[in-house]
Amino acid sequence: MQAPLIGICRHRLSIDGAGVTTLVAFHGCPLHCQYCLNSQCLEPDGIWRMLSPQDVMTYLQKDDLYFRATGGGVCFGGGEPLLRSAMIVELCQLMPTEWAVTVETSLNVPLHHIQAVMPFVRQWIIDVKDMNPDIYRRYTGIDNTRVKENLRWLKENPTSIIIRLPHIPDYNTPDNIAASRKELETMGFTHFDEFDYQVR
Amino acid sequence: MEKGKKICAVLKDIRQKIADANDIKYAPHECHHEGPCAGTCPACEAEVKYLEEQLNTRRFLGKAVMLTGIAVGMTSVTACAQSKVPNNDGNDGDDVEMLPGDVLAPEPDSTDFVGKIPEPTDSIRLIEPGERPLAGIVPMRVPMFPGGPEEMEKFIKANMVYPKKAVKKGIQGTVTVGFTVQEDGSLTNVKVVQGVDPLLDQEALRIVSKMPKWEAGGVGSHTSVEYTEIPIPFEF
Repeated sequence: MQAPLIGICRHRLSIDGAGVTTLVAFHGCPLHCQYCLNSQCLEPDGIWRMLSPQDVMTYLQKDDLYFRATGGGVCFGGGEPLLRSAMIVELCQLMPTEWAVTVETSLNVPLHHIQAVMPFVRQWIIDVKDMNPDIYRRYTGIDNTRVKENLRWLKENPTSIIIRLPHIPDYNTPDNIAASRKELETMGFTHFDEFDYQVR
Repeated sequence: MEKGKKICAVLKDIRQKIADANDIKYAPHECHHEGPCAGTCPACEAEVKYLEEQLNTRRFLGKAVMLTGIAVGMTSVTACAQSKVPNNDGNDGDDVEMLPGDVLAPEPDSTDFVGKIPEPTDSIRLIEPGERPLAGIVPMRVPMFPGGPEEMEKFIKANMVYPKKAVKKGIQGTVTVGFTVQEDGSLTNVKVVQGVDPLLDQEALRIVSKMPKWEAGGVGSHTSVEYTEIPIPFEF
């Protein structure tokens, strides 16, 4: 098995969860966000390398000491990492269980991808964009019904979740963000990360 | 302090913490590199290997190893050791970075190559061929360009022919080349691990093909076949 990557980043300090982490960033995404900073993940020639789980492990193992000592580990991002759930599962089966696994996702994927990686993930970082369907569609180009369904499924399964609520210039307002937060709180979510998208 | 140096400092502190917790003699290399730092370098990686060897020795001797969670909370710098990385939709802004592939343009300041592997001291001796590993062994030697990293930098500068087309197009960046250093010091399986542009990638491969034999890696009088990677910066 091989999967296309746009990059691997070592020694990220407290960016993707606790401790020292390595980001494994996959190619491919179901969204077409207006301000996507990794637009290469949508371009056919945006692939950095095709790697097998064993190949990726050679990058990850270098920092085993740091991962264990700091409570860090691996963060899967992209692109949309869950589209490569089979690869993530295989990788997680190769990793020491002490490594913390974080997934940065839009959650706009078929549920079976989430179910597949669920047993291995210690923390989910979910960028919901905006819960308003019209704003979401205008910004990403697709519908967010599946995001909401998947959020409900995740909520039923005990796990650590941080919801990202971005301020998206020209797309949502503080009132929209507050409305998204309220909807999510009603669903039972409690940890939020509100921030501004960087437009470049 | 430059971001890479901050990462390097944090990682060094973590290594020190691991060494202290396990009663391992550890003297971090003194880094005199003044240019941009990628947060890690072969000398830093050698120290990690050294600690791993020491911890394995402790395990072999049935001693307790203190590792899990001992450096929790020490990672207060927000940055990444390699080059520019975008994260999903810009959280953390400029601080969000990653090791790029060919498309994500790497920063020209890739890797700090200054520093040396810790030298054996009176209390640290080399393990001899056939000897069982005991406490106090020195780390594995990493393969090295003859004369060290500074000589390698000189060699690269002296032999680099910046492709004219790349100059016209304004292409800069650091190409990472990986290869295997055989026991006799010859370089095999040379390949571009992290490219910038085919023009620069080809020149980087040409430079490595011109390199003299390296000093092979190993332990004590043993030599071993080792894979290594080097950055070749292209800057106007």
